[in-house]
Amino acid sequence: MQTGHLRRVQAAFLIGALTLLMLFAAPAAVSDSPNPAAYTTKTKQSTAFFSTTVALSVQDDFSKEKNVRKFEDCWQEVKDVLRDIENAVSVSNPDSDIALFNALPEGGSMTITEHTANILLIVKDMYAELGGMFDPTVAPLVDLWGFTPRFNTNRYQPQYPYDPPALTNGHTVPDERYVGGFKRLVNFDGIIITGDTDTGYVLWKEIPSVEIDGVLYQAQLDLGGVAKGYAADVMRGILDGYGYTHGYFSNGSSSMVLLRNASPDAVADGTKAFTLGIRKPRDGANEQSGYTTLQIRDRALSTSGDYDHSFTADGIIYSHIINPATGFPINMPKDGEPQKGIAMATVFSDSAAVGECLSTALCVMPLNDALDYINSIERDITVYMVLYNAAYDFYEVISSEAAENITIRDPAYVPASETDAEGNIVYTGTLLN
Amino acid sequence: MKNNIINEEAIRTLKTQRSFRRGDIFVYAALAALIAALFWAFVFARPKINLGAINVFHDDPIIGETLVFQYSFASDSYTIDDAWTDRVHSIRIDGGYTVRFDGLGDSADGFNLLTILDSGEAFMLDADCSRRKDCVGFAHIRHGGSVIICVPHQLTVVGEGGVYNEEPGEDPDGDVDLVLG
Repeated sequence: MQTGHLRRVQAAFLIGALTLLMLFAAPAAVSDSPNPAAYTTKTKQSTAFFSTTVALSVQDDFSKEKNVRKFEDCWQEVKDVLRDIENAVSVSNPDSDIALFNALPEGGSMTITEHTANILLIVKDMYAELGGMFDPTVAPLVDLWGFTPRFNTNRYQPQYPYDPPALTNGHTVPDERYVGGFKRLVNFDGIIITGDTDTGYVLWKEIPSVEIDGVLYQAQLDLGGVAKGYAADVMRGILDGYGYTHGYFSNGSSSMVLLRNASPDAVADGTKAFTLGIRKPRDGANEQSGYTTLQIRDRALSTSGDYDHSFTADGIIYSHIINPATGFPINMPKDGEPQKGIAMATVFSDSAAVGECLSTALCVMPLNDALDYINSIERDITVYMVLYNAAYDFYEVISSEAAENITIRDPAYVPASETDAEGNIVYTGTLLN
Repeated sequence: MKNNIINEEAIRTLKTQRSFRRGDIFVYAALAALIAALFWAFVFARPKINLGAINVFHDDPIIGETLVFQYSFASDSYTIDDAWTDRVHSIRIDGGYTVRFDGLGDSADGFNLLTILDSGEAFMLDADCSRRKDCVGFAHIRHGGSVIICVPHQLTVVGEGGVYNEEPGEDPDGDVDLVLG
């Protein structure tokens, strides 16, 4: 009798304990389990970095105070790291690694900090892979053509012998001697990185200086574009660290990393994807700002083109993207011919830094080389390019995406590529023949 | 007595009358058409402005950030910060306003021209900030959260609010979440 009674007490105690355990654990389990259908969006923007607007957008259950605080913490860390990256590589900061390196004479060297080293190591790989079509030592040419930050002010003062006396709306092509001379400073092979993460990295300037009119000019680095992509990649790492799975980070809207989309529509249709528009590089036939829209998530996006940071003079577009081989901006027209070329290149990949190098280089390469490159590489990327020819009033769109998956929103933008049996992109248009 | 008979007759007439006469059909049809027209006008045809206000900020190294100019679409009115009334002027144009900001930049003599359209759009029309004029090249503001910045003149133009959205960066009236470019 006694044993049976004890057993029943034990059983009751056990059941009671388990019930209590479940009662306490259940709310915690329910509240921590992610439920994207309950997510709302919070977005923070800042104009303090890279001379552009950066936006951090995160989707979470913000009905909980702790998640609101978590987002505030994340935003603060995002700003701190962006500041670190910009301080390391921006030429506008006189103490940055890059500003100090640019001041070094031929043969000079200096230790560089982690962010600078990370970016340069990525560029080293991409420079080799892209056959030199992406080369940050074009910096002196970028300055010669007037695209560095010191020209983006209304208190411009001429600084170098090649500077125009004043900034006017007109444009004078720089002296040929400087274009030719600064071309000799373009050679990323002469930028050497030694060391490793344990001992630290050292950067060497093994590019001979060039003398023009009695003034000595040294090789320079401009990491502007790729730094934006690198920053976006780092931001994705930060978002991962906070456990975010839904949202995006945009660095000036030309460099983005996307997670997933928890907006009600995206959750309802099961895609959790963002609807992305790619901006038109030229005015088209209608006012929508995108020439194409597509669904995308969990990707790094980069785009480069001649419409951003450029000026037009005598009907010719002078872009800040300098062709390392010619020393001129991309798409300079030959005598008697209309200006034509690749107006914009967009790359979706797993790394925004890589995407930046690719999208910039694709604008520089002749079309056939660009297609050969895209068709030959093993990388998991998606490419869109817009071609233009000033003699025509329409534009052509080339993409690695299958034609039936592309939605063009403006009749002025005409699909001009096919994918052959091997999956290679074939140009089927007329503007650049 | 007579009143009762008349009343009874009247009541009988009313009762035996058909409740629905042929002429009534036109009345009901007209009413339905009116309701449909009003519904369409107020729900579908009304231009959907996805902006509540345009805010223009100036960032001064000493003073900090000032809300220099604000335009409200709902009330079709604007306000100018007291310290800026001699430097900000707005003129009505066909379909909106053009707002001129003067005295900008390091030399304190630069200008920006901002156009605001009644259709719910804002963009930088012109500026003398630099040769590049990046601010003129920004995408037009069509919904809350979009910005246009002029770095040399330290101006930031921000779209705020909208008919439907509370959070910046969303564009529920448009069909695109993000624009790359």
